[in-house]
Amino acid sequence: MDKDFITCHVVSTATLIGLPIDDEYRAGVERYFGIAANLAALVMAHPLTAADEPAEVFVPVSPEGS
Amino acid sequence: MSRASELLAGPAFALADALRGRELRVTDIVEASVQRIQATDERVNAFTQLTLSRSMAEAAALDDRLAAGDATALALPLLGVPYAVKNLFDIEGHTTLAGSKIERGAAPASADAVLVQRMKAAGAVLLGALNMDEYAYGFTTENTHYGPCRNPHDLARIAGGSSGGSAAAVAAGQVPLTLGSDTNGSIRVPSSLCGVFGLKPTFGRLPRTGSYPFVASLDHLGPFGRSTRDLALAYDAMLGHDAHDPSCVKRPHEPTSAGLALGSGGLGGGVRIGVLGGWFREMATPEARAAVDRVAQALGAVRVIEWPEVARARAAAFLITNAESSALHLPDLKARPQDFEPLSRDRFLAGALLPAAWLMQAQRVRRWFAREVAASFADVDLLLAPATPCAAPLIGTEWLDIAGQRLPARASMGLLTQPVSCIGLPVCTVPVWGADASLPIGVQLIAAPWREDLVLRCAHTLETAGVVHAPVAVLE
Repeated sequence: MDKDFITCHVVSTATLIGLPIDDEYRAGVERYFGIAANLAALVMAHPLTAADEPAEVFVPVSPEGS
Repeated sequence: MSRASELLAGPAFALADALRGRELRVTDIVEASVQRIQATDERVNAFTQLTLSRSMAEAAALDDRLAAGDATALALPLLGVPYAVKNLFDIEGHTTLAGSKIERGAAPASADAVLVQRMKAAGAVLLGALNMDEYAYGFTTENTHYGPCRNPHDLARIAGGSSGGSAAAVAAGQVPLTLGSDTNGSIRVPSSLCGVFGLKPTFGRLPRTGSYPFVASLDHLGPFGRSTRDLALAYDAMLGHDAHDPSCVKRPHEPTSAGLALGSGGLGGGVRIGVLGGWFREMATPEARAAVDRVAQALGAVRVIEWPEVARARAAAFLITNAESSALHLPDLKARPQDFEPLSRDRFLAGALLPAAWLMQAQRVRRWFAREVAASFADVDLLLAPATPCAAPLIGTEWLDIAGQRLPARASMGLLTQPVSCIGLPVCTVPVWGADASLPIGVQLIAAPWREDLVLRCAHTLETAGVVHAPVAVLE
């Protein structure tokens, strides 16, 4: 992913969620975001169908003692 | 060497047998364990806290029951066995640190973690809490706040992580059993590097209630030991559903100890065993491949099985871990980022910024991969793969050369474990010596979900044949 895109995403998303990122950490954060972006490219390129549900399954919570 | 020290250096089951025979008191064993910790831990740094008053009280209570002829006490499977837990398990009255500086201000735990309760009920005696990577986000236990945990077999090297203290305490002969957690490899990596046995059960098998989470959708808990029988005894003692962990699956009680002797039906006989190829060979050094080959040869395994799209599965595990753990710590990442472990802080911050579509696709790829791998078990019962790409690197190592690539050392220690825990398969890691010039390397014995019995049986077969073993490190 283009380095400028990463910088732009990190700055705007961090602002959006109210996460301050000190200048001291910024280069490291962008480096790790870049690693995640490369791995995400692998995952996003994998063909799936509508039947491929997420692995997470919600378990309903029953009242205590029922 | 005293009789208590001799027993402490051996397997837990023999120690419990000696106590049943009233050869010595539980208190004698616990005192020997404390002495061993005090004599070695300045160098190893496996423990972050000793629970001495509790340890002595638990030992005295067991001695009183034995002296009174309590038959129930005599039958306890882990009678008088000293053990310790990764410091993300709740210990009543103590603050659960999870390797962090931030949690030092948290209130003490009001109760023991469920697995600690079950170990106590089985007769084991808690000695303390163990070093780990902060919030379990790491494979090396180079913890900046509490110091690096050192590999007992070479103190200049890492113990692995994130349950580094759990593996090192066992390898150092401080205690014969410990508990740890495994999200992406945190039981299997340190077991491999410290030369001990480690069991990561099926995802959802053992309840995590009362343990500090890392990635709830991937976290597993399990035991470390120097013998397969000890692993089986501890695992059996911890079995059972707990409704407070929503990922814990209701299963029949399926203990493993009694079936250990069934082995693999002779070395390799009966159980269909394959070697994982592709990614699991390519991302391993010649030494790690040699470790697998030794086990494969001993078991007569010649068939090579390749799982599809392993790199994508590993990528999915990475993304789920990064996003979920960062979301968990978001309030502290906003308020006090300077207090996080410098080795993982930037990774946590980045994880809070991942697009939701990446995470959801990762969870879908995980499901897809689980189905593909399940199909591979139509042809085999057990699969072999290295637990780590190499033996223990020196503390502070930044880069590794693997498969002709220069890769970041800390993240790469989990390359061969992440694709397996991503889909929750049970794994016993067994320690192989001689593949590397001086250090152990672990081999993963992997089975289909809920077949902990099979991985333990085959590990026991290898142990009985002398192919794998877990010696106490020489630290004098």
